Amino acid sequence: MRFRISDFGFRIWLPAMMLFVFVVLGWKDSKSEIRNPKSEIGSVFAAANDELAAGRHDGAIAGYEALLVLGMESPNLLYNAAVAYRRAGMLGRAILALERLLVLDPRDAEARRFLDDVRAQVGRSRPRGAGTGGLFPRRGLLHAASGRLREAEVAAAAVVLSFLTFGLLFARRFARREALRLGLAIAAPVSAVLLAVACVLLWSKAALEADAAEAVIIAPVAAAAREGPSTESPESFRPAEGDIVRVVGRAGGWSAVLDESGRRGWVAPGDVGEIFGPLVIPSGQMYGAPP
Amino acid sequence: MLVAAVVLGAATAALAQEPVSVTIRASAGSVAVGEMLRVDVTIASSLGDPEHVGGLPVQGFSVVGSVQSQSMEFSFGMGRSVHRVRVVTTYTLRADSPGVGTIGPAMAVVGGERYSSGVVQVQIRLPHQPPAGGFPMTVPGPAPAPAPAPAPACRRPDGGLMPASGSDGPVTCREPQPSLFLEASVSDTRVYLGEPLRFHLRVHVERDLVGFSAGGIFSQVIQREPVLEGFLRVNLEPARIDTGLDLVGGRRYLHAVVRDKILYPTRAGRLEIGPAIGSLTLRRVFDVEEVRRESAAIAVEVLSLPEEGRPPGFSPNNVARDLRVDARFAADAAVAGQPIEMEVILSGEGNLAAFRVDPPRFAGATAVKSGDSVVEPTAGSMTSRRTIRFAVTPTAEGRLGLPAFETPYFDYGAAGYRIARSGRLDIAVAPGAAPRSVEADEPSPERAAGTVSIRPWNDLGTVGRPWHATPAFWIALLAPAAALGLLYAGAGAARIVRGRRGVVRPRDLFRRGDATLRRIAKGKADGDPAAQFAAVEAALMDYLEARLAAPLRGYTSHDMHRRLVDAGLDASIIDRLAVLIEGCEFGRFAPSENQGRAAGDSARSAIELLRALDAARIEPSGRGS
Repeated sequence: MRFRISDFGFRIWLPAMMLFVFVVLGWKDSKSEIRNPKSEIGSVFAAANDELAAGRHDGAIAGYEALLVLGMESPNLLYNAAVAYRRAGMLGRAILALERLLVLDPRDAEARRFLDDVRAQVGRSRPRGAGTGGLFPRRGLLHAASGRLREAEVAAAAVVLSFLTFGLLFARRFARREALRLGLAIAAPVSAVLLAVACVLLWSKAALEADAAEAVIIAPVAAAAREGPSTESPESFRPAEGDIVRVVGRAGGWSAVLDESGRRGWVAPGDVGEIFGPLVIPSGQMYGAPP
Repeated sequence: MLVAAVVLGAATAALAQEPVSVTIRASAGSVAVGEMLRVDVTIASSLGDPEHVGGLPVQGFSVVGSVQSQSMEFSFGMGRSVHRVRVVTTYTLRADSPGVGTIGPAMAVVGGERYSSGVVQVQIRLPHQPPAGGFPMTVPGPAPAPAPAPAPACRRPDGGLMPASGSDGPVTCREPQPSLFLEASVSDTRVYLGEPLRFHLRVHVERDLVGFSAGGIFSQVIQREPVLEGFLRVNLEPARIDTGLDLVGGRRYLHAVVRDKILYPTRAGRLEIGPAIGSLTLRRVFDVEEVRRESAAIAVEVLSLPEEGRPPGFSPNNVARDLRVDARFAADAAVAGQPIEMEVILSGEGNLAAFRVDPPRFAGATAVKSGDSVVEPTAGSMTSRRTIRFAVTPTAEGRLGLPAFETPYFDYGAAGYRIARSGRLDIAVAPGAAPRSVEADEPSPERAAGTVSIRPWNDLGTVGRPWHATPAFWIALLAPAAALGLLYAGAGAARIVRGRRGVVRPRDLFRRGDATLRRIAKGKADGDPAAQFAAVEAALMDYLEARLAAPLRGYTSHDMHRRLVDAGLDASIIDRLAVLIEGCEFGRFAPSENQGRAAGDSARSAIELLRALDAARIEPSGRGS
């Protein structure tokens, strides 16, 4: 006679367990509805979308930035913020929002096209001879290889391959059949190579992207890069809105940046937005904030 | 039964298709001299790839270019599969001389046989001559692929049937099915080029399948978006999904609009709104089922803008309804040589973002575009609004004016060309600095083209820590390596401890013996052949003694045989063992020329025997029968 799981009353205790979980979760949800402002955050997002659809870009930007300051950051929020920034003529901020979106979701083709479109618009708006090289980040081969992958995907692949590689070696230790031992001896190195590739890609995502410290010039009028972190320091050059720079130092809210031609200077807080790492919107730089 | 009959019928129909067909299809029945015409030559073959595809003979036209694409279809039915190849060559022709142009026949060779299409005749008229109404395309021979009749699921919104061809007006396509079905609808199936039409995709899900998160289900049900090739689109999806309940065929369905778009056709002819695919995963207690449904494709006939009344230099982008133009200067007075901003506001239905609006022509001033922004239509209002700014620089003092700012457009509501006019523009110009040259006036960047639509779906959340920054990830990554290392380290330590205590396990001897035998078999062992024979014998005897927990060496062959039989060892293995040990002893004491090779052979046999011994059941001495 075959063993049947239902013989042990599975059909009785499973629904009972599900009911218990539902009751517990439902109770927790009902409590969080009262204390958690999630629904209010959703309504802010919806209201900002309505503002954007009605052509009131300022209201939309204020709504989106309020959410970003709260730490909310999602592909749709960043995309809509980019649309609002673009319509308001704040193309540097639109580029920053889209670059951050692509960090969250590197395979968002629509956002990638949108970013190209905005960059093209910035490039067209520049005077002749101003150059557009700074608009496009110069990233290495490894960065490009891992550019379309999410960090979580690479990390999950590394964990799976680690289990597979060492699991095969473990199995080989106890395998007695010669054919099986041979198969395991071939599979384990292949898996180990894949594990090494995954680890390199993960290192690229975790270390290279952070070390690159890429940032976007978001000041609507060309920001002044100075020789020191204060407004009294002499101006060294003027990076243009939308240019990609590298942040190589920080002091009192000022950022030391390197542009694509190797020029170095300090830019004021709020003139530059970093692509990787936490998003910082200085309160004085928020849209509609009092000067 | 009915389903089986339908499936059988479909399979029969598929198998009853012509094995090879060559068809020609032109995008229009009438063109003007100099106009382009698109012609598709389709070769459909179930006999394999065409070996040769001939060129397209044309009279009255010249071939500007061609593109070829190939696709394959597989169908199964009546106990066999059908593999069908479809090669489509798209030609772009230019009409050269007035009269009746002839296109075809197209020719292809498949399986050594020659197949050809019919001939298509197209009227070529003089420029500015209106097209003759309904000039028929004469197609002798095999007819070109006819436009597919509307799907039976498509009906008028009031439930009335669609005509077989030439349909106009709104249409709704739905085919109710259990669990899930999709409903596609458009506001019009015959429109002018550039005329907007509204497309809705509605999802119906059986009420009983929807739990507590109806919004989540409806926002994720579409797996493949409808193909909207040939259309520009504006997305109007609502910020929130509103559901309704209706009764279809005795079942209760929750329904919601998941796609809401305004579509602007970009080319004349027959366009198709492709099917969307939706899927729903039904999770039951012990199984999971995925339901996939497809919406109907909807054909839209796009009419070219009429030639009659077309203003010279008219842009086909300027298609709207009830267009209003308002123009004004941003200031009350201007200074010669100093730019002043002029604002032009267009409002009305249509794709105003694509409108071509030329700068105003002032006598005594230059004007360049300095800004442009569009307010797209919303779900509640189809009216768009576009604001264009011009920098106008007067060159001399006096008065600067224009009777009206004019924009020609095609009014699809009235099916005729119109001109939208603003009120009079007039401003006083004070004397100022020397006028700047026109070349110095760089146009400002076009800000906020604003043709990208927003994403209404709420996916808000905080960005969590990356995986590599969490201890759990590193524990999971390194745990297998650590576990394997511990296993080896533990085994090594245990061996050392056993060695110090003088305990020898059969498994240790098996490994040691196996390694020794492998070295000998590969010819890598040290020592002369006699020593290798001794090592082979020792490997087997050490292991057997460990398994028996009793010495075997020193016994006669007969006694050893008896002890092994007592231990329960199989007779065939005992015989193989006796032969091998005898061979080893013979090899040790009877030198020969190929002794080295013989030792290797013995080692290989010993490896097999060692494995057989390892797999055999042996009772330790004193416990056997």
